[in-house]
Amino acid sequence: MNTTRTDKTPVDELQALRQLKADIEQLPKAIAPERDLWAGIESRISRTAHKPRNALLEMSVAAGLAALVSSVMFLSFGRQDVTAPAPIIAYEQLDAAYGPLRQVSLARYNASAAQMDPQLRLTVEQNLAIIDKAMGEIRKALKSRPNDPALNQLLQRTYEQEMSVLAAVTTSKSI
Amino acid sequence: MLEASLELPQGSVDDDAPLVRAAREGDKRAFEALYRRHVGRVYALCLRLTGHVANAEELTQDAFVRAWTHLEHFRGEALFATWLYRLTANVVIDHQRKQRSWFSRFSSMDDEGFIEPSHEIAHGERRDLEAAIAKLPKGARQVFVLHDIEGWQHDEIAARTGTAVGTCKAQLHRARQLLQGWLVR
Repeated sequence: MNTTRTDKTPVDELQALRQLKADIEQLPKAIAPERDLWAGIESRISRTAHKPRNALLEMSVAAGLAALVSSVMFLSFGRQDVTAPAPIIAYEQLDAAYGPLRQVSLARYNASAAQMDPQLRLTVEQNLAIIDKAMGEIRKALKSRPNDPALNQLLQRTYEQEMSVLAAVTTSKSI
Repeated sequence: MLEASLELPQGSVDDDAPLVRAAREGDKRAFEALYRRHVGRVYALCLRLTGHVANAEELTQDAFVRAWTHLEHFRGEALFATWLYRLTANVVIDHQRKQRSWFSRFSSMDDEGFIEPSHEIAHGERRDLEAAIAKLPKGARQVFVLHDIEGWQHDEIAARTGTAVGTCKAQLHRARQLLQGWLVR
């Protein structure tokens, strides 16, 4: 296979494109996998068919997220004096503390995700994406107000929220 | 790689309908028959979109599991095969999007700089193009496979992947240029 590009005339380009299209036409429509994948599918759909969705977990996650999103929206409208009974931890310390924990939790989740009910997995990952987005918004705000105690506290709560979701799904007996 | 003849789904399109009806009622044997009929196309799509055998196998399984759990949403307005291949592409796109999002938290590598761990497509007859497709950057490969092989329109690809139509067109142009350069005879 030649990886060197050469200067081509428009005619050459057209011919090359035609050749590529001809090659595409020759591609097989189907390729047989090297191993039979049915056993894995059957095992998963058997579990799916008899397992109700984990509605309690989904409701719990959704409720937590609703509170989180409300907090972000509330702060984004300018209020900065959220009551903070807990000591405030600077976000650099939070990143240092939670970073390794997140990596472990995400790795554990990834390892178990394939065995999860597909619907629950979709819900969890959609919720994790919302948390991720919220975290991005908070970080954006922290760039301009790095010492804002409310923002730092909100980031901490967001970390905690993500950890609790990951912990809940990786320890749930119904998964 | 098995040499089974899977150029086209076995049986006519109409043959899917009773199997789909039975599978919707919970008949796993009927669903297995649908799997046997369509796995080649589904796997080929996963393999070309990912360029990676192990990922393609896992995503093929994911696609059939999702098809099973979503059969109630299949109304029969389109062919089952069309619905299944579209669902498969969505499974792969969702997977790649999540992977990119999660990797980006821990890594500075972007989409174009990310090289898959291996390109395991076997070489042989007609395999040069397959191997070259697997070598494409992820974004360019995704658009090339969906547009030039699967026949999606740019606006469909853009809507599904969350990119601009112009970006899709640029990715396709890039993919073709790279492939033409690599496949010079």
